[in-house]
Formats: sequence, structure tokens, C-alpha cells
Amino acid sequence: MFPLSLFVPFLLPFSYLCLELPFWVSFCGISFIIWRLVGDFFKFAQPSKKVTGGLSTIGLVMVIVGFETLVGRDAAGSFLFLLAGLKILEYRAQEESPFLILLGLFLCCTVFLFSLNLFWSLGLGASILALAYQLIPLNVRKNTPTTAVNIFTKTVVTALPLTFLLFFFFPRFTNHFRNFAGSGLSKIAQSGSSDRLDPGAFSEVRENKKLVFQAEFLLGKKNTRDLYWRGDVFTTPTGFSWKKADVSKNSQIPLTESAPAHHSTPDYRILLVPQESLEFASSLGNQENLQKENQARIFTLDETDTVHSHFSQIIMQPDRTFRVSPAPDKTLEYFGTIEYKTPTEKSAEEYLTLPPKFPDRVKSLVASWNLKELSPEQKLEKILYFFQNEKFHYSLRPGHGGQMNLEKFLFEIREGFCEHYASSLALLLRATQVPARVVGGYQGGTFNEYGKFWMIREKDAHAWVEYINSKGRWTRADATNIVAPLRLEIGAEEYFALPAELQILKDLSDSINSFRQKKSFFLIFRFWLEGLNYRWTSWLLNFDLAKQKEILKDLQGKLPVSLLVTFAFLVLLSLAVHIHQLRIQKNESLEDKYLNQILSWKEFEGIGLHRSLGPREMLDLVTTRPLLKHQEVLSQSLSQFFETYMQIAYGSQFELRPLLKSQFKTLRKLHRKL
Amino acid sequence: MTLFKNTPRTYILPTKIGLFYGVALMLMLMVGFGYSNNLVFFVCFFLTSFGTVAMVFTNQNLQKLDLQNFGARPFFADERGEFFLSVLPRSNHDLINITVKYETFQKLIEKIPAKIESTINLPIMSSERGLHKLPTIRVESTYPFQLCRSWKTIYPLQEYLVYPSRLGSPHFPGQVDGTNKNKLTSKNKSDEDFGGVKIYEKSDSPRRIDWKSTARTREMQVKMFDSKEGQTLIFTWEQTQELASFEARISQLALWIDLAEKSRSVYQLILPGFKSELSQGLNHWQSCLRSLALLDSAHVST
Repeated sequence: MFPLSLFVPFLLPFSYLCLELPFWVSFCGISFIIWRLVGDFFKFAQPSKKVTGGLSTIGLVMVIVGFETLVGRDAAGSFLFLLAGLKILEYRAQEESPFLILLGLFLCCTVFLFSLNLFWSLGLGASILALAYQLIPLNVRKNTPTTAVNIFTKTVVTALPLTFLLFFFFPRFTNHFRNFAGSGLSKIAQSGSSDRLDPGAFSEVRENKKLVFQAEFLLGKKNTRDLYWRGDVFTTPTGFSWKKADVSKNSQIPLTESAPAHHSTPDYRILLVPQESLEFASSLGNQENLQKENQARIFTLDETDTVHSHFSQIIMQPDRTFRVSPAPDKTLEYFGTIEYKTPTEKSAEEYLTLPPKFPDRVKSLVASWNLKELSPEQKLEKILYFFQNEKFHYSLRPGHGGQMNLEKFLFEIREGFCEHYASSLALLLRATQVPARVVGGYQGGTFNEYGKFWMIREKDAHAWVEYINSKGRWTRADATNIVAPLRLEIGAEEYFALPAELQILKDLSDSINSFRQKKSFFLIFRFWLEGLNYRWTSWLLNFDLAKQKEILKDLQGKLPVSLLVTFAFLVLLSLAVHIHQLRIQKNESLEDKYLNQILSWKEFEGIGLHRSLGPREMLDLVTTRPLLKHQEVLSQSLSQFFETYMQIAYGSQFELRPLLKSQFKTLRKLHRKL
Repeated sequence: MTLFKNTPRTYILPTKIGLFYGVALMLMLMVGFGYSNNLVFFVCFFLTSFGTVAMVFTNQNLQKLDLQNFGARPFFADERGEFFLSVLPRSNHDLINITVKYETFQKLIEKIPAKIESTINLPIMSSERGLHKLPTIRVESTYPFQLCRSWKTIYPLQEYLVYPSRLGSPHFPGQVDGTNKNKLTSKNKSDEDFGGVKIYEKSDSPRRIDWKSTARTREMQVKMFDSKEGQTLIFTWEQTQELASFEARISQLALWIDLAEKSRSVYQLILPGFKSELSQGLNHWQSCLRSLALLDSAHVST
């Protein structure tokens, strides 16, 4: 029967890896475990080691074929997962536990490669401790559990100081080992970007609370209204939809860490979740382009000049969107610095292109506005006034994009989500000869007061427009600000939580504020947990060689103090040990105290008296040693002492203690004469 | 009293699991470097520290074990004898899972109480009589986490004595029904008082096996009867001349000595170069058997 105490610590790493590894790996691993459990329950014979050995060979081949490598988190993790399942299946005797325990420890480490989440870390920490506990022999754990727990606790507690010492001071050398994993990584870490924007796509993710990234401002706080996170830029209209321009690799600008002075104080920091799991990304169409390049999109604020990351290369596109290479398969940390620079586009012609079959009705509308002599800002104002005046609505259910076109939207339906307004605004601006483009990304977010960071979720997905203003600068324009300004003011999560009658309001009112202040305990608790997890993840990601050097530098300055503290600690420790020893000695019985004193007298060492001897042996020794035959008084006194000692210690004749005391005094006198 | 060649030192090396553990830690460290993952580093460092501390505890489990005495009481050849090993833990806590090994035998002692002298009994058999050197003993421990093995090796100086095997005819020499002075006294039950049971020995009569207590204790037990009086017996080397081999003659005499002692007879053993008193009792029995054990064929003229 497979021991439950050994099985339970495996549950957590198994359950996590099931969700992260390919389906066939999870299926096989779980099947092996179920096979074992069913076999134990119905007392079937388990497969022999030859069978499990054959299965593990097949598993190895399948992993190598499937991942094209055995090196790398996913390939190695899959193989370990299968191996652990097979090992559980073939487990026969207690002697096989240690190898299984080592496998379990490795599995737990594999989970850490996927996630740094605080709560998973705590759970896996408990699993690791439970596995290490299983190394204690079964007879000790079963027969004397108290002893087993004591020794385990003592070992863990004693090991912790060295652990922390190594953790803080063992040098962290960065290594691009992952790059050697080859194509195995690129297959799994999909970039999650797209070359197309279809109106209606964003609204499909409005219910999704999945976290996209977390942002922390290092210099001052920002308002929700000002947070526009740029992801993709769409420049080519196809009807009501938009496509991205083809960007050749040659036009990309790799940013290096040496790009610099800007890096000294970045404006914000972002922790980005791997984009494979993002619905927003996957809902927007094919992802072939970026997959081929093994790049992933990252999100930056307006007018971000520089982005840098410690472990990945950041690439800037001509449209000032950024990519990271290689595409991350775990949380990515990067920093952004805001400083506007002049656009790099040589020509604005591509931003004036209208779709084929541009509706005549729309052309007539634009012509009726007489905007030829106006500046781009004035033209924008006119268009926005049109949206406001014609009572356009912000709708969470605007209908399928295929049924909607520009003409219908502007003249009939007149309600839509952010992408409808962005698309129509950009087309109208182009129709008035203002270069414009649509930007997809996220707007706003939820501020976590406990961690002081912003959480941007899928439901914060947003689209807006950028146009070239009269100064030749790309400037943001958001029609949502006219039709649903509250959405930009308070963020998507709070906005969509409002009742419908409050959503149509244009500004914050008392009724909205009082609604917003009603935060459930669950929400507060969730924020607190998220804040804790954020701090934990940030610290883990941030702790590197630079941080270690910083700590050492600090310590150098505080060396005398730290030495003093260390010295004081050692003194206190030795004092505590000494007091403890004294306490032990206090528990020593009177007869043992006398005996120990006698044995400490150097003169008696020559006789051969030693602590390792029993009192009977000592008695025999003193009565037979030739040396003592010439010192009969001494011999007699020692014999009497030992006999009395044995009567007290083994015969419990405690009433003889006064006699022992007097015998001891006699011996002491004789000893002084020696 | 030091009865060993050297004061046993404690040695320590990783076990097979310990080696795999070390390799696993190296791999974890590489993974930590490769992925710059601080959690993997933490686990690696924790397990490294854990292993180091475990090594110290494994060493301590044996380091403070003093080996006091090692010997064996004399026993008969081809029968089970025992070594005894006296140990004394100097530590304040009990010693756990100590294994004692010698030749092909090993015994696990789950607990040795702290500061109390304990005796560990180890079985032994020998097919040859005489003095033999005590075997090298290895005391080892992998407690608590089986990552390392610490051990002490004892090279004892003493020897142990093996009496000749008790083989031959159970009838005393010259025994005929009813007339010979060497004949055993009547075995009527009225002459014998029941004296309890004891563990069966080779020389005991199978008729005296107590099956009930054997079934209960699962160890062959025989009934003892206290005879009111024994005989006077004299055993000589010449009485065994009908036996072909030297060893067979010695074994026969050993059997007679043993039976004589059990029957509370007064007996004397006369060998070439040895003549015991006419006596009885444990010391006399031991003395006779010892002389038989050490009897050298070179000293005996056929």
C-alpha cells in the first residue's frame, strides 16, 4: 500500500503542474497515480519494474520528440512529472522512499519556475518540509513520533541561519541558460499579440478579471484617467476593422541596458504576466508573426521613451510600442521612463489612408463640417462635438462587429464600445486630413492601497486614437471621454460594477461615491492578499547581484556596528549555553556530584579511574591496582566511597547520603596530601 | 578498562541517498542560476543547510557512544553462543537506530538510553572448539535522515572460548542396567522433584521436552528435575578409545561432563596432562570443559 504520508506532499506540486504542462503529460501522470490508488484499493497486482521502466523510456522519448529537447523548464518538468507518477506506481517498499522524496523535492522546485506566487510558495514550502520529514526512518516515526518531530524541528531550526546567510550572500550570477533551451520555449511562450483589431473584440473580454500586469509608480502617483497603457498600434483600416502595419525587423530598435542615464530613475515598474494565458490577446486573431520572432508585446505608458529589463532584451518599434525578446514564460519585470521624443516616422501619408469603399454618406458628413481651414485640434473638437451632440451611447453590448460598419454606427446604431469610437474617430480624422491611428491596450486599472500598485486586468482593455497635432506630435484622443467619461475616471472594474443608471452619469456624484465606498470585507481581504503577494513577487524578482552588492556596501559602512552586534549575540549565546549547562548540573544528584569531583582529580587518573567506567569496575580497580596496595588508607576510603555510592545510586538508599558526604570529605583530605 | 586495540574513532561518509541528494542539490543550484529564480535558490540553500546539520547529528549520534566492554561467554561448538557489547552513551539524549555489524550479521538497536550502560547481545556460532579471536565489530548509524553514515570499528584484543560440541552416547562409560557403579541412579519420578523449565540444550533428553511451555514461548523448553543425589563418576581419555576420531572422543567426554553436572553427580576428568578434582559445580564444570576445549592432539598419545 502506498503510504499516505508520502502521497500527501505530492498533491500540491502535482495539482499545479497539471495545469501548466501539456495535456498529454498531465493525463499520463495522473493516470499512473490513479492506477496505483485503484490497485491498492482493489488489491490488484501492480506492474513490475520492467513495465514501469519501459513506460519511463517511452515517456522520455515522447518528451524529447514533443519538446525537441530535454533541457528547459517545460521539457524537464514534464519528464519529472511522468517519472514521479511512475515511481509512485512501482513503489514497493520503504527502502524506495528516499528516491521518491528527492523526486518530490525536484517537482516542488519545478513549480517555482512557473510561479512566484506567495501562497503557492507557502504551500510548497510545507510540502518540502513534509517530504524531508519522510527521510526519518519509519520505525522512529511510528514508534517514537515525539523523537522524530523533535529531531526534525531541531534540524530545520538549526539549518535556517545558514540558509539565510547563503541566500543573502551567495553571489547571483545571471545566466542566459534559458536561451540554450532552444525552440522548446518559443512553442510554449506564445506572444499573444495580433495584427488586427475588430470592433466588438474588446467587449468580449470585459467580464474577464484575469490579471494582465501590475504597475508601480516610482516617482509620484497617477490618476486613473491618465493611465493609458499602449500595446499595439493599428494603422491600416479595412472597413471598420484595422490592421497593423508590417514592421520589418530592420526597423526595430533593440534597447540595451547601457542606454542609460534614463535608467537611473525609471518612472514606473511593471510585472507582466506571461501573455500566453491572456484572452484579450488570443481573441484578436493570429499570432504567427511574433511567434516566429519569439517576441512578446509589453505595455507602456504614453510617451515612454525608454524601457529596460534585467533579463530580457527590449525592442522598440517605429510606432514606439515595445517588444521583449525572448517571449517570457514567467512573470517579467521591466521599467519605463517617460520622456517624449520626436516621432521617427518619415512620412505621415500612411496615416491618412482611408479604407476602400469609404461610405459616401460619411464623406458628405465630413464635408458638411467645413473643416479645411481648421487646425487638427479644432477638427478633433468638432468630431467629438458630433458624438456628444448626436447622443451617442457607450454600450457594453454593441453587437457583433460583422453587422456593424462605420455608416451604420454613425447614423443608425449610435452606440458601441471603446473600439467602435476609436475606429470611427480615427477614420473621421483621416477623412479631415489629420493623420491618425488606433491604439489598443489598457486604460486605468485598480489601485491596491496595501501594496501601492496598480492592477490592470483584462477588463481594462481599451482602444483609443492618436493623431498628429499642429505641433507635429502624436497626441492621444479618446472619444470615450465624451460618451462615458466615468469609465476613464474610475476604471473598468468599478465602472462595470455600477448600476446602469449610474453608469450614464458624466461625472462623480455623491451617489457614485457612496456606492464606491461600499467595499465588502472579501474585497478588502482580497486586496490585502494581492498586496502581500505583489510585495513578495517584487522582492523575489528584484533580489539579484546588484542588490547583494548594495547590502554588502551597507554592511561595510555599518561594519563596526554589525561586528559589535555579532559579538554581543555570541556572548549572549554562550551565556545561554552556560546557564543551560549549569541547570543540567543542578539536576545532578549529590552522589554523582561527589563522584564527578573525585574523577576530576588528576592524581587519580594514574590509577585508571575514568568516567567511562562503571562504579563496580572502579571498585574492582581500586582494590586490585598494585599502586594502591601501598596506600591502603586511600584504597580503603575509595572502596567505601564506591560501595556507598552504589547503594545510593542503584539501591536507592538515600539515607546513606550523609555517610557518602563524610567519606567524600575524607577522600578530599587524602587527596590534598597527595 | 580498554579492551580494544585503539580507541574507536568515528568516521562519516554519505550514503547512497546522500550522494543522490548532493547531486540533486547541484542540479538545483544550476537551475537557480539558469533561471535566476530566487525561490529555487532558497530551496537549494535550505536543503544544503539541512543536509549539513543532518550530517552533524548523524555524527553526534555515534560520537558520544563509549564502547565499554566486548566479550563472549564460553559456549559449545555447533550451538548458539552470544557476544556481549557494553556501551555507554555520554550524551544527554537517547541514541537512536544504532546498527551493530560483524561478519555477515547485523542487528539494529532502536534506542540506547542516555547515560545508562547497556549490553547488546549478538549471536554467534562456531564449529571449532578452542580459543578464537573476537571478530571486528562495526557500530554504525544513519540516523536521523539517512543521508550520511557514521561508524566506529572495534578491533578487540580478547579471545573467546568454544567448548567442544556435546556429541556421543548419553550413557556414561561402563553403564549396564542395574549393576555398574557408574550407572545413573534410578530415574523414578519419586526420586526427583520438578524444578521448573529451562531452555533446551543439546545434551538434554528429548523425553523431557515440555511441549506446553514450548508452544507458549515458541522456544524449546525442557523440564528440570532436582535429583536428590547423583553418583560419583570418573571420566578418562581411555574410556573413549573405541571412538575413531580425536574430536569425537573430546565431544563424548564433553557430553559426559555436561550430563554429569546436570545429574548433580560428583565427577572427575582425567586427560593426558590434566587431572581434575573429584567435584561438582559450575567452576568444576567450566574447568573440565575448558581443558577439553584446549586439548591438543600433540599432547595426547594414542
